[in-house]
Amino acid sequence: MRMNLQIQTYSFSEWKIMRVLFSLFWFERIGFILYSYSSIPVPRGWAQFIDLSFLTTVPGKVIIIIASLVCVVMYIRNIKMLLVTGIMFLIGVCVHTYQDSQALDMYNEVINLLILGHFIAFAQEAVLARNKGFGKALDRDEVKNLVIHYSKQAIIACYLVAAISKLTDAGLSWVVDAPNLSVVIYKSHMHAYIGWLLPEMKASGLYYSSIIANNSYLIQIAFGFTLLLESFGIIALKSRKASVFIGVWYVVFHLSVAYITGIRFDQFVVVVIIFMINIAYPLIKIRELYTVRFRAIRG
Amino acid sequence: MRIYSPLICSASKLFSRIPAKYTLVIVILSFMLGKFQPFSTFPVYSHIPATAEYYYVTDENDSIIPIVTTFDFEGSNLHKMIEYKYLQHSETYGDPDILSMVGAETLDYMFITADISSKTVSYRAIKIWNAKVTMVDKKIKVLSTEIAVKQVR
Repeated sequence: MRMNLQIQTYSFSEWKIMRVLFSLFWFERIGFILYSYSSIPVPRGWAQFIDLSFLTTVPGKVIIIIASLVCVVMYIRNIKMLLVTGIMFLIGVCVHTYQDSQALDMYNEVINLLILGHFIAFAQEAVLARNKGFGKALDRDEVKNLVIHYSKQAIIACYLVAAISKLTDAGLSWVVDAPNLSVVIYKSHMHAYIGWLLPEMKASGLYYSSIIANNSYLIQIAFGFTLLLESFGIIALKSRKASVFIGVWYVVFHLSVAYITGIRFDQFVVVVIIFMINIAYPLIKIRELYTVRFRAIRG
Repeated sequence: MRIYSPLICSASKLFSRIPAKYTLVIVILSFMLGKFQPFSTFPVYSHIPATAEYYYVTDENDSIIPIVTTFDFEGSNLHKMIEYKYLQHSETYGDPDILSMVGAETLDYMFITADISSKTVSYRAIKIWNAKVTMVDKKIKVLSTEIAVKQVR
């Protein structure tokens, strides 16, 4: 059976809401990182080769914030998108590398891969417009759908890479070993306890770890389902409905993990809600409904 | 700028037929490059060992010092910082001598960034501990070991 992974069609209104939500989220993350840190304790990734110390200085932070703000305005207004997404990608790579160098694993790669997907789509538009030998030039409508298509592919790729990592590191014993999560959960609660000396964190660590230890089969089933979900996320590219279906499961998965373990991956939840579940669609429908009712009332 | 040539054109058309090509490229590059923005292998809990460990900081009387309020970083940061510093010395994790050296380096860094001295804190010494967590008979067991100590001057 051949799976048809065609590019789905979205309206310009949906694309505009996606741009607004995503760029505001992107800017908030950049601002938060620059505000929160002022040193580079453990240089990682690009920070081992490129001097990112300018991000620790006030002038450096201010320049990046202003550049980011200009990019966000241009991105929302859909101006010079090839240039804007290129700059956003470079800012994202530098600032997120700076955050990784705080000895943190935040997994913001999904945000940068998403912007890189945008950049590739706009680059494809530019190349096809100038070189007819590569194929038909893309119109605005096709470019917009391609950008969203690549964004979804970036998100799906991150889950697929995570699934492959699990299979290469632990194999299927990842599911069998799932009850070991009890010690991991205790550890994550103890991280919170030693940070603030909150006795309730220690108590909840013991509570959740005992729940897992006493429900090992249920945890194994949940882990098996998670692995399937991560591995076959590509199904989301089949249709808009499939994208919503997979997206909702991803969000349920993240919220469950956050509730039980306290480990949060907000960046994944946000980009899944924006690009896969497509929160813009219900927002537009609600607005249309109210517009129709308002006109009906006015007669 | 025109970059058309028949060979590039054929390769481009062939590439365009691959479904989900961007996903495919990300997966390949992620495993080739590892943790380099924008790529990562997302190894979060890709292996769940039977023993977990964490680090904490105490004073000379072994009373826990809240590290967020004292040093302005999270408990998980301390763990990652020690882990990454360790990996710069050795790839096989767990050597007590290296751990002790890394613990001392971490304390030096913490003292500088949080400006720790007898004028700023009431402690006489600060210690880093390693805690190993296991589950025995459905009950959590924790074994703590002191890895480094530094006097406050």
